[in-house]
Amino acid sequence: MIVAGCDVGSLSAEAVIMRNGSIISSEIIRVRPRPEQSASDVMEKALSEAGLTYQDIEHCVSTGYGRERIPFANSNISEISCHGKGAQWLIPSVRTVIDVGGQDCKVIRVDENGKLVNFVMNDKCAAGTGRFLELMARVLRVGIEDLGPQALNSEQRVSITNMCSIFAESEVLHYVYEHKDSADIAAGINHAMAERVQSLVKRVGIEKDICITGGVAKNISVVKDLEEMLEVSAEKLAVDPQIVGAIGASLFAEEAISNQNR
Amino acid sequence: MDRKPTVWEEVAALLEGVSALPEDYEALQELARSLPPDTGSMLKGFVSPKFMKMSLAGLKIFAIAFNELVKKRAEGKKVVFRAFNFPPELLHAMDVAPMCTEAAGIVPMMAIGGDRFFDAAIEAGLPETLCSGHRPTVGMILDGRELQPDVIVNAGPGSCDANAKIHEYMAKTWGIPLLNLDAPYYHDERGLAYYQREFRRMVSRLEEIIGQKMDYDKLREVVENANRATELMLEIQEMKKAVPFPLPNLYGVMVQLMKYVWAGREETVTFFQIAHDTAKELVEKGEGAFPNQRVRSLWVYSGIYYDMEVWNWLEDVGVIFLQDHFGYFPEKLIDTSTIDTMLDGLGERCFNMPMTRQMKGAWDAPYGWAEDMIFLARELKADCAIFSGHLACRQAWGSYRLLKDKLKSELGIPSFRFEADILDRRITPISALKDKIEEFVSTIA
Amino acid sequence: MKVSEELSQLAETLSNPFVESWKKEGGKIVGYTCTYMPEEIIYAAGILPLRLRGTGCVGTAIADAYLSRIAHCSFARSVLELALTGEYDFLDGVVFTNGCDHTRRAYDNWRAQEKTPSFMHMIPVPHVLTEDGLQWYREEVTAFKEHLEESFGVEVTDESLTKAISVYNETRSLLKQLYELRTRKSPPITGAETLKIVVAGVSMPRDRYNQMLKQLLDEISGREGISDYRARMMIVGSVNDDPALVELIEDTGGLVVADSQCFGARLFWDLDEETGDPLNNITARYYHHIPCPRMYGEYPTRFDFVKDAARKADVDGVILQTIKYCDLHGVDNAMLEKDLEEEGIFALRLEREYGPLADMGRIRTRVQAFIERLEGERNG
Repeated sequence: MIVAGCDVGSLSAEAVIMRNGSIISSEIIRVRPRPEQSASDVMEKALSEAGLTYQDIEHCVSTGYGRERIPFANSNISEISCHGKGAQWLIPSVRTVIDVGGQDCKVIRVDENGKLVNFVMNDKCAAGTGRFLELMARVLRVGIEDLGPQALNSEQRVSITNMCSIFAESEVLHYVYEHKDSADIAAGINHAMAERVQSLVKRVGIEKDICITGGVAKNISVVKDLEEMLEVSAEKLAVDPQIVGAIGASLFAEEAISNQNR
Repeated sequence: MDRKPTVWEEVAALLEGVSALPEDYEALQELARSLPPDTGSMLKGFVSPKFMKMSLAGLKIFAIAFNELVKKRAEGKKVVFRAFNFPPELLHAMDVAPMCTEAAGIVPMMAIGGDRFFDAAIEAGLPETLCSGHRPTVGMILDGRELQPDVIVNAGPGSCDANAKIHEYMAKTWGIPLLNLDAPYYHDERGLAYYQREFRRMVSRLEEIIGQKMDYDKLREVVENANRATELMLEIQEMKKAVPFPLPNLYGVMVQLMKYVWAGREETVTFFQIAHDTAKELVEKGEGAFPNQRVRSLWVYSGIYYDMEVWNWLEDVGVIFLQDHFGYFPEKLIDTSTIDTMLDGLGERCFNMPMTRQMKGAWDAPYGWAEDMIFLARELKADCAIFSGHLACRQAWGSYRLLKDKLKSELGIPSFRFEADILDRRITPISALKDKIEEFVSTIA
Repeated sequence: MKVSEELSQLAETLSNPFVESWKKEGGKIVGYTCTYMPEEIIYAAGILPLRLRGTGCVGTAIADAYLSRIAHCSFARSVLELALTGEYDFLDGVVFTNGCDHTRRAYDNWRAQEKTPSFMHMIPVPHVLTEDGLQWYREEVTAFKEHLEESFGVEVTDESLTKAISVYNETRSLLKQLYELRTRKSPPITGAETLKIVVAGVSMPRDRYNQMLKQLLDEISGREGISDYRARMMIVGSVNDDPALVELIEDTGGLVVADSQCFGARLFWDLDEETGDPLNNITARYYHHIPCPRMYGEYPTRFDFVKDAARKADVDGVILQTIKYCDLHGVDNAMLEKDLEEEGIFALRLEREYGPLADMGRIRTRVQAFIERLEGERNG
């Protein structure tokens, strides 16, 4: 059986195709102006990679911000359920998924079948989302992908106390003017980020094992800080954390077919 | 000790050296340097270098209060939490370990830091827009750093939903008896009578729960102290009309410590006596407490408490902190003839505590916010009003515009406002506030 | 037009044909907030009581100058905006309670304007349920009655109050019947439509409403029940007069079959006593009706009501919603969440803004995920 999952977010879109329970292709693209466009572009890339066409897909589940606008999807499921499902499938011992994306942050609790048990989400405040890192990286004049590695050289992390990104930016600027070590500033930024995420996590509590997904999962320094704060080590994903939602969606597509066949 | 020390124990230990301090700023600075940075900052923040005697009289109370709490708790006394807008005198007359809910969290926060205590309450499910006044306390209890109270007296109803609700939350969550004190809408004879009945009922319940009836001699001792302190305080209030201003900015903050935590105790009388004598001397000489007094500011709601060094800084830039709404105590002396006269007197005092007095009714009610602030602005010759804009304060934000317009039309004085959380330093940095204050001042000095 | 349609339309606008014709015939209208405002008194005076809503408000630019965007509830700001932009000029008076810090400041700011309704009254309600409090409330209600009589040149007699009680109790019984229908496995009415019906009741003459309600119940009994829903929901929390919020939840598959709302069950669940002094009966009923979170120490009563209603309607999940900055429901919902989950009733905390639903996507995602969670729990 061939199924697909399509995740259309606000910054990126992903598609995953599975055959008989294994991933045969996956793609990530930056979003187009319209979600329908993002969905078809990323899906077509994934299909092409797998050497398949739309007709080959028996069931497609869409998820993400634009999930209701995907014409080729048979059904849509929240990105919350999909992230939880996908992460737990990748790492069966996972019970808590911390998804830190570009625009939002979700903490998802699942059971041993990847079923959603509870969740909490922050999608209003930039602090605690990738946006925060983006803003700070800009002030520090580094690429967002450098924030993590750079911080590893830090010896004395600076303290960024402001919760509001606007004021935090000033704090960072202030440290830059004071010629503080970039590594120390980067460490401060990552630490502040981790603090905001950890606060959200505590609203719903954790159960081991945990894993961190979403774009920010690629920042090793934030991950390290978060692990320290939560006193638990996060399982590492073998795949790009950004495709976890689409994986979950395709798993749900599989289930939909199994349920139909029953 | 098997368990983590509570914040009281930690603070009490840190402040041990305070009681022995001589009246020497150098000595204080040395002590501050020997302590963790947050504690050191706090010590310096509560001290006006030129007024060591007064400052130490106030600072010592922190040390005494926390030590006493720790001791009483160890003796098995019941811990009674009450919000700031409640006269501590009543509880000092009973054999309990009383604590002001807000101070129980805020003072340790100042002394040992811990921004994350603000968040612990939110992590437990409370709204993040809830007033930060009580969140450190709740956060510390959740974290096991603060002992749960045994009784909660809820003085919030009527004047502040958030205050009242958080006390209800604590009582419910930890299975603690909740004694509500409902403040009526009107500040008149009928309202006072209603409130005094509420107050008496609350006292009876308290006596039942603690298993102790009010003792006349003990109550009288406490109320007599309170009366002496009140007399001095009211005289000081008169002296504040003087130009130049004869008190350090910190007086306006210390008076709150006295009234919210230690009223009825000997040390409070000592503090007010020193402050009184200090002010009197300066008034007689026609001198100000600090030079270069450019602007007399009335803070119509609260001050800023997440960086205590701001009070001395304001003096450096020539801004006088006449006082804020939380430091206004227009009270009467209490008749000590019988337990009844004293309890009714305390009930009336409670009725007039800041926020209860001003915020339970209409914005322009007699004895309400607008009337009190205009009165103070006029009496104390304010050049401007400042609204610190505590983000969670619905009543103040909801009538600030009206008050500002009235101050302008009746007294011709300008009002300035910030947007900040008065306790959580992570919202608006102190540097931003200082910039704004300097900007305001430059437009009127 | 069907009665259900006729009633539903009333929720869409601030005024409506019934209100207009009442006015045209020389009738007076007094707007009010809050379930602690004894409507029977206004009715008995021959005046139309009209519950204040934020319907039709699309922005709060003017109100925000008085009630801050960063500290105040968008419902209170919406009501104030409508007041300040003249949308409530058709009222002959308003009466508020000190329901919460937000609404009482809305009242203060309205009162401070140059142009105000000729009749304005505040009924302060105690925040605790005590004998003393009931006495205070009785005095305030009496004062309100006298002020109303004086201002409008009418007399509110015991007889007229008794009649009012009978009319209002009829409404309550009818609405309870309506709510009973919602407990069925296939309810004949959605939550959104129910809210519209409830809102209609506080926006039109009561006698006519009762007639229409009876017709509605007839009409509905002939309907085929709704069975294509994914989960049965209950809404609990901050004031809501806007069916769009309920529609959003129901579009996601969560049929709303119960509530504990002030435009909802808490408004009409309790009846007046019908024997004895009518003013005392009305006062007692309003004082003791299912308490709003503003009544401190009464959380257990509220929790019991929510739990019972949830069980009776076979609710799968409770949506604990709060308008941003609502302290009363915000804290109450924190307690409810924990207690409900302990009872095995799943809950979703939802923070929202009142008004045109700018945060539709956010709400939809959360509600959908919650429904997915509920389905997962159900399917084992």
